[in-house]
Amino acid sequence: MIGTLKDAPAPSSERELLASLETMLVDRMPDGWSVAIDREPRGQTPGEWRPDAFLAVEAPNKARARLAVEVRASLYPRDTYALSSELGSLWLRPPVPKGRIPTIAGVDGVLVLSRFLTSRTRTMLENLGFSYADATGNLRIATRVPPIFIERSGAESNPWAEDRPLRSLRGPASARVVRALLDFAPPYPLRLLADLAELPLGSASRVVSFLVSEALVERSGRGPIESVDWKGLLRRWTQDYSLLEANRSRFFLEPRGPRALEARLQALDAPYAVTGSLAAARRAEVAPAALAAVYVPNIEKAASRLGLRAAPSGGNAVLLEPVADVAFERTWDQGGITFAALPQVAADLLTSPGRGPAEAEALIEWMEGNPDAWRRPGSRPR
Amino acid sequence: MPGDAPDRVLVDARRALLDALDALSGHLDHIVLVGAQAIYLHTDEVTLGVALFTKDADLALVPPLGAKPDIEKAMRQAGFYHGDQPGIWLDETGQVDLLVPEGLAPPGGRRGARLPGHGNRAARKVLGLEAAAVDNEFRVVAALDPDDHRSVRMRVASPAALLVAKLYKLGERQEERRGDRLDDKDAFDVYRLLQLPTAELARGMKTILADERSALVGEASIGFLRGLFAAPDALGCVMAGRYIEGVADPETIRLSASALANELLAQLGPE
Repeated sequence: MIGTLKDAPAPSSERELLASLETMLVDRMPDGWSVAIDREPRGQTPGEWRPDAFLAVEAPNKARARLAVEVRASLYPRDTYALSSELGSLWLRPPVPKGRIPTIAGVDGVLVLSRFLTSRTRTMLENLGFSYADATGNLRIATRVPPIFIERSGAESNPWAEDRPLRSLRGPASARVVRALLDFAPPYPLRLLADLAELPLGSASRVVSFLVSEALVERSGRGPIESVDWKGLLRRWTQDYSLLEANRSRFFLEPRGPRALEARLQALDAPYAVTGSLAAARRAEVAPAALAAVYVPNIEKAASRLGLRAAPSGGNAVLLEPVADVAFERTWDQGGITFAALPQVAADLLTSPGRGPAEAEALIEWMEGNPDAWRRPGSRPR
Repeated sequence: MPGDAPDRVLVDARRALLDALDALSGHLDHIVLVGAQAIYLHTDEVTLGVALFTKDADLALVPPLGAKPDIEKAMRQAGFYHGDQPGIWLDETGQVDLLVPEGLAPPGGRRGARLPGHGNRAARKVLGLEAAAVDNEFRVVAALDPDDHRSVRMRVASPAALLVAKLYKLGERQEERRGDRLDDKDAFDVYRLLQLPTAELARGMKTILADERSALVGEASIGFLRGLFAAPDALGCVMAGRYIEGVADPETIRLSASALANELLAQLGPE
């Protein structure tokens, strides 16, 4: 079965993963069990975590459990702790007093869904009281009340492991390499680039090979990276990366306008980086910002700190959990506010709705005229 | 945008305002700046990509006024002439409206205020400005033309008083079913004012409600705020959104105006 999976493309979006979960459950549930997925959960309260979907499972004895589903493109063992504290207010972690039920109304547990979960990640999730599923067929649904238990095994190794040439610039490793290539002016050896991108040499090498094949990076043989077509790279990246799809995002309403949000960012006790129009306006203003876009490590916590109201539509502020935390790196400050690096801002605007692309063009033009203001020579990080 | 050279129309409007104040300086303590120029003084920081625009200057005259200087004569000497209605004064590029809060005006007259010694067409009676007479603050109002060095320290209606005036205007016209006279810009000005700190607006509203001269219009305006702005699809929110169409997302403005109206209503307490 691994052979067949390997030929199939890895489900990459939340939608694809939920679809794969549904298929797997329908195909592999024992007789007499039924499942339903609600992909558009409603009724969210501002500042609170909202599940990506709800999963209802009904056993042959009519016991019925409702699980909140948290979708993650990838999940490493260490991430499980963060997940646990993030959802901690909703989900009692073991040791759970016997007979206690989770504190969120109508939810009997939380199921973490990802492309592939290693056995270590699965064990940790289990210990922390989560149900889980991955796109290779690993599945464990365990709820105390009502008592439901299902466990199935899928792949033991990641069928989509990165052992073949890269074909796109999706994902965190690409983001890290692209940002390093944009932020630091060549020449530099590959090893230094990998250090700057904080990646293993192999991962950096795969991205660079792809970019060499796309003629965006020049490198002779195994020598140093000699030049980077930064504008071309920016545009190529945004074919695979987009602000609202690559990053986890949620829209909010700031009734006093996008700029009013800026003034309150100092209230955050975690790192943040303002991107999009508000950042570009500091360098090349086209028009007053219509949308505030801010990277934060945790959307729900930040929204609650900032007192933002959720806006399913008509929102003018978007909080983003970045696909790679490089979004918080090489930032710059102005007027007490921290902004994302300009190449990040440009990529984000190129893929933003509304006036974003026009604002990106103005910013790129400014960047072309002021290379020293945003690009630094590559040197070994401390 | 802030920092840009101000628009010519605004510069002329401010010049006309200062000309009128020069002419009426003997009454300065009874004059309160209201209308768009007052709103812009308070909402400078509130930027939405909508150009500030006004061609006129609105001044509330708060009775009792002394007989000297004669307003009619002083305005003419300053180069203004009458428009088509009492209280409207024009010169080549500007317009000054002299308005008397109807609830404070001496009895008599249909539209023109009967200010003893000042001529029946000198100023016009308007309902809703009573709050401006009660809640105002001294501000320095300066010329916008770099070659004009004049500035005047004068009373400017508070944001709450301006909100009352705008709401009253909108509400009255809606109640009279004079939809043709409803102006989207007035609704957008309400939204502009609601963006100011809610606590400051609530404080002003409480002052206005506590004073018998303005309590009635204050209460009426809170009713209008509830009816026109509490729900995102209420008329006032829809008008404010429509005004900004093409510049911002009207839905964002509708939701924002409604959210801010409810914030203020909550601070003002139950009906």
